[in-house]
Amino acid sequence: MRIRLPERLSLIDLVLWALRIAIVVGVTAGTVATLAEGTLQATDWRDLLVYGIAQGSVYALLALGYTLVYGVLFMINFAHGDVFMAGAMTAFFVADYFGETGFMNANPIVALAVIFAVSMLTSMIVAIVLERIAYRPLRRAPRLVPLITAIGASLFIANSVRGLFGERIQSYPRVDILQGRIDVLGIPVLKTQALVIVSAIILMLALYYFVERTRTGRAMRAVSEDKDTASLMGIDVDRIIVTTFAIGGLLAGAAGILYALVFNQVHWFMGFLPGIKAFTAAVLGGIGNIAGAMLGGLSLGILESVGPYLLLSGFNVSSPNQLRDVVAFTVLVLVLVFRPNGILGASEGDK
Amino acid sequence: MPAMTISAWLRRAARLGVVAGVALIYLSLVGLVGAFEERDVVTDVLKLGTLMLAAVAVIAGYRAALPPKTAAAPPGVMRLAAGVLAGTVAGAFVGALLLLAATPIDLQTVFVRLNAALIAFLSFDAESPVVGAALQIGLNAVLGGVGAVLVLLPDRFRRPLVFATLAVALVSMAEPYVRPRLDQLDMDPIADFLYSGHGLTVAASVVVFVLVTAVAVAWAPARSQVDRRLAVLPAERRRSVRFTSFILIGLLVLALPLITGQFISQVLVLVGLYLLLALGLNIVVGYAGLLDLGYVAFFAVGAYLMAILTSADGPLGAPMVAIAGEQGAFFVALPIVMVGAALTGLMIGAPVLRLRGDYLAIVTLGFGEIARILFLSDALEPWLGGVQGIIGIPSPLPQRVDFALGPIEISWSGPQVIFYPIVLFCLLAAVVAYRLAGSRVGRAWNAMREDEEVAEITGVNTVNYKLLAFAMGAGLGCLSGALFAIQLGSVFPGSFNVLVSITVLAIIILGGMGSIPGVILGALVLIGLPELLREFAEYRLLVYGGVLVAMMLLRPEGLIPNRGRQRELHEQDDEDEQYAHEAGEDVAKPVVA
Amino acid sequence: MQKHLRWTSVLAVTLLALAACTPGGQSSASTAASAGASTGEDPAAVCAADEFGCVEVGEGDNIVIASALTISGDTAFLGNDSNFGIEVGMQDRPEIAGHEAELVKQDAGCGEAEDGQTAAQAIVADPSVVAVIGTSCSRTAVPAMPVLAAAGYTMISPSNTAPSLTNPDTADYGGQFYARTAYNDKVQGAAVAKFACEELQVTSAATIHDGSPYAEQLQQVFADEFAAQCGGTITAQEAINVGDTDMRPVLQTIAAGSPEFLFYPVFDPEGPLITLQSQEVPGLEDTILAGADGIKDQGFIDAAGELAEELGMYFSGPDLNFGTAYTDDFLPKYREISGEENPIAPYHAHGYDAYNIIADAVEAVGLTDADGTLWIPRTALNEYIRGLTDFAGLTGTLTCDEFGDCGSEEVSVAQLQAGVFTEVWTTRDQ
Repeated sequence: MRIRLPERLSLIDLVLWALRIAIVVGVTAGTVATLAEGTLQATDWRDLLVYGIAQGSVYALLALGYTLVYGVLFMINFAHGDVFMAGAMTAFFVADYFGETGFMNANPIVALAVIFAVSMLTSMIVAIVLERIAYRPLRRAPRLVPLITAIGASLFIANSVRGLFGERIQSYPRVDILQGRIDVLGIPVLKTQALVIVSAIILMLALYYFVERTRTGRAMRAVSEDKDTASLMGIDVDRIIVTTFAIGGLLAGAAGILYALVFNQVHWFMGFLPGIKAFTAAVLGGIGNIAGAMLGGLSLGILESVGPYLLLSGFNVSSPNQLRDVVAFTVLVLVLVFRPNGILGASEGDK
Repeated sequence: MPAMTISAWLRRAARLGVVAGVALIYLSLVGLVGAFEERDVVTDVLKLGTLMLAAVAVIAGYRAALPPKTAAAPPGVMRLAAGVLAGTVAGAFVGALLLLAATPIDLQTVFVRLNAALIAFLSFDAESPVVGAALQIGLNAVLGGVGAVLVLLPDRFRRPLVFATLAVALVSMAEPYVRPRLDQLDMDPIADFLYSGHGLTVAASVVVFVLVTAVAVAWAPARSQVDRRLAVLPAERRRSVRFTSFILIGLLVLALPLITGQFISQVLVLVGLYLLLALGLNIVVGYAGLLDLGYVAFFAVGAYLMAILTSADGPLGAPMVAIAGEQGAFFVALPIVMVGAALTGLMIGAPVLRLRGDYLAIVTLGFGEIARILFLSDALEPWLGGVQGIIGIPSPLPQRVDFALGPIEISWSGPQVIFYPIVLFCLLAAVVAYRLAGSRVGRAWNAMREDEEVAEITGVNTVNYKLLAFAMGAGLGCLSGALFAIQLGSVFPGSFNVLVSITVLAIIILGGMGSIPGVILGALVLIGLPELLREFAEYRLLVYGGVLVAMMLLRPEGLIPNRGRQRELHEQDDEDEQYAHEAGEDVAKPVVA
Repeated sequence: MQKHLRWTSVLAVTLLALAACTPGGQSSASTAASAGASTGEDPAAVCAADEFGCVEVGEGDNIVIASALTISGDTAFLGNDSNFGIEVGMQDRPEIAGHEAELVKQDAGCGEAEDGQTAAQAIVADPSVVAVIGTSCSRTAVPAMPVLAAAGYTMISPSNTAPSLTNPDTADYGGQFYARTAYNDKVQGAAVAKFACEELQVTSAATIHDGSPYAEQLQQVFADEFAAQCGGTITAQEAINVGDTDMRPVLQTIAAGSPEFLFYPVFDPEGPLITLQSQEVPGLEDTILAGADGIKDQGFIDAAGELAEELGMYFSGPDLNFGTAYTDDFLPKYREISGEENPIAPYHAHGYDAYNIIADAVEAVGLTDADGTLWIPRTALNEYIRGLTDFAGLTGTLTCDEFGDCGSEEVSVAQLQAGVFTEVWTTRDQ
């Protein structure tokens, strides 16, 4: 039910139209100019695309946490990025122990499974505690209140981890079986990146099955439609909300380890930017929509790896990659301005 | 009301003890105890770290001994017992930590702050961990008991005792700033009486404690008498009393740089700059209810605009200096900066203001990051200086001011000079904000914040009012930025990160959204205190995070609430249908309203 | 509101009364100086003649030296390292001119310029401070210097390397009261270029910086020198942001120019990330990698040490071949004070030298009167430091040039061997 804009807003509409045209012209001109330069070969572009997909998969897993919570509570869990960080940081100590004792490379599958489990459990516990202490008492408060709480919680978790575990950057041990590349349809892909993409797909399918097919999943959807009706129908709303946070936490913990395997390093501040990016991805795809989170994550990842060079290099902008986040956030703003329900969000809005 | 059973009563106390125990272990492991264990409160007698740990146990004992809300209060002995129990349980946690640390398990690889120094501190330098644990349990039990005794004390003694303890801590913390100042003013004997090493002397702490207690005990009856006198005064006289008070406060503020010297003046200048930012954000968040997480963008735009217009190092080669000279450049540039600011506010605001509140927060956060990266980027280096920033911004103010006020010779330099224009601008901003809040515009903002749709239906053009709030907020943000630029003489992109936005937000949340006195208090506490307590610097963000969460949970209206806001935040507590209404509406409503 | 007003009005009256009693400004040192001087000169006259007066150190009082380094946050290791160096200096030389030395540590931060200014204000508020050792980062020195210079406090930096600080043609110029024992990055950049040209004989190179002034200036000096010294081509000068983790896109675009040499003078964790990911980008397999002193630390070894050793990556930095005085005497004391096995950053010896230069200066210009009070004229102290010649320091024999560059100009290039930075090339041998 889009409210029809009255006459007096025509100036803003004008601005928006000018913006639309400027974007189309700018993007086309930049792309053409860059491609005309011909510095990068087709294989280079292909590799950039693969990096983007891998990075995007991590965003997608995180974006699911935002989307699930938003779907149920209509709040942005700003601290989700720190839930992700807490899992990876805690699992580091297990990974480090495995690395030092040689267990990591003697039994890589078992070791990785244990590390994943530790990270996912930690993130889940942090998410549940967060909900219980910081969010539950505020369910009836005006909207801004839980959002500000979430920002505070984000700072608090990140700085607690810094205080407890120290501020140094921790290096994950390297896993030998994950070194090198494998061939996927003739494209060489790094094994770590392949692992990220495959795990992300598996987890998302599992989540999709859970939400669509199981009893709890149905209850979750019911709660997200209407809490009061759901509770009248005998659904324990509190339990469902905790479950939602727990699932978001599990996914974030998994994303944390995937991130650590790709980049080898974890530190207390690593949750902030991926957190914001993942939220951007969720909005991009259409918040509250599971497939949308996946699509948004991938789009954002690709946009970040290909976008700066493709759009800016043609204009002779120096160091275009420095402007990666500018490109990402600009897209967020534009999506919200022109298509506020996201790429897949149209059906969501009509509900 | 039925009394609680003894076991229920004690269980409640034990639960509080567990919470306190976890808090004690957290404080130790996160490093706060370690950071403060060096700092003397009373030299050779009491460390700040000890005081902090003791406070936890006392508070636990106090809470445990408070009568329950729903049942009759148990007898005094039981309440004392509850306090002691809570303390004992809390102490047991620390004791367990000490025993665990003594085992061969290497906890320090995980918890980096759990080093030998911390363990020695926690076990009172006892060789055996068992002795240390026993000491912890015993001491915490006593402290829990002290907390319980505080509950049993009459109000008029409890408050003064707490005040006095805080006063001792404060006077002692001020040592690095007070002592050199006293030396400068040739008051060495006072300094030597007050301080030895970096803490208070025993004699001085006793004097401060007794003095503050006595004054506070005596003050309570006097205060109620003054209140009564004031109440019977005619309205006119009351107004004049208030006017006199304002004048006195004003004189006090003007005299501050004189009394406190250069360093504290510098801190006050920073407080003032943040106060301006907070007053601006307060219009956006507190009045209009729009959460802007990228407020730093305006601060940066103001600083950079001023730099570009007045610095010879900038891309335009100081056009304003050519027009008005070094001293005048600021004044010519200021109106341009303000106009530029308002335009930036409109530019950022126009496309996104139709978004729902929480989307707006994220988008503005994005704008903040975009601004930071653009100011830093190689791409815009020819105009904005890139990493190297822009330097050589002329100040309109002299480096030193010397004059005689009757018999007193006054000599100000650096921050003591710039303090005055900043106070002036803060005052202006506060008056404007205060006037706005009471005007038609303010009422429109109120209506919009409480329910946007209703406001729209009643004829409030919400988009225009939102734009107005954004532009005003942007104006104050840019003003603060411009002052920051001349104060520093240079601008660098590193100064404009997201933490500035969050700090400003924390200020208005702590003080009270929409409340001007609250914002002032917030700026003093969150900017002033960490500068004075440098050990704190590492934990500043941890504390900001804690403040945001705790305030939202316990006192969302802030320390000095705005009356209307307080009502608004609390009426929700008992309106169940409000929740269902909101939730249902959100599903139906697309993001653009 | 009424309540607050009442409280504050009481306070206001008291404080105003207090303010009325305060004499204006600092008491001038000259009037306080007693007449009889034990040395040849009369302290009262000297101090009166000195534009900034004297520091007065009464008999039994400490000589106070301030440090304004970064001691909190992510860059704390840099400032702590220099502080440890100063503390070793104080252990070796606990007394200056018969007075015990005392170090007051201020936190000048690194990234935010205003922290440098605030630290400077805190220092000038204390008239007992003789001189300052700081700042860690070039950024924070810029706004600190006007404050210190206005009060006549001399600052010696153990780790500022930005060329602009000692270049009078830029607005960053530190001025008369600034000096540094660290080298100027003009020296480091030129040395790396020389190494690339002559030792490695490469003809093309690319650089990456991270938006810090250190990295930006250093890579620029390198790029200019590389072109000037041997006509090398710079294929790309790219930039990343602090906090970026996926370096592959930027590396991919650099790989398109196929440079033979890649110089990225950044910090942790971006430095190790670039190293690790460079091997995952096709086209950079044969490129020689090099970083600078910003990643020549334990954090880098933990994160990417093995791979860097395998690849033979190079690290430029100050030449730490300070001889046996450094290895046998200094390092054991450093270990004892810091509790660290290896130095956590390269700028401890520079802090040690800065302390000793100040101590020498105080002993050279300080005047003791009949009461045993030491008077240290600030301008004379500054002139001594800026006029320093042939000072036998730990980092070399130091002489200050007319703009305040006092550091040893020796640069070394190291590789990792068995997990330890080992020098493979130094300017000393050239």
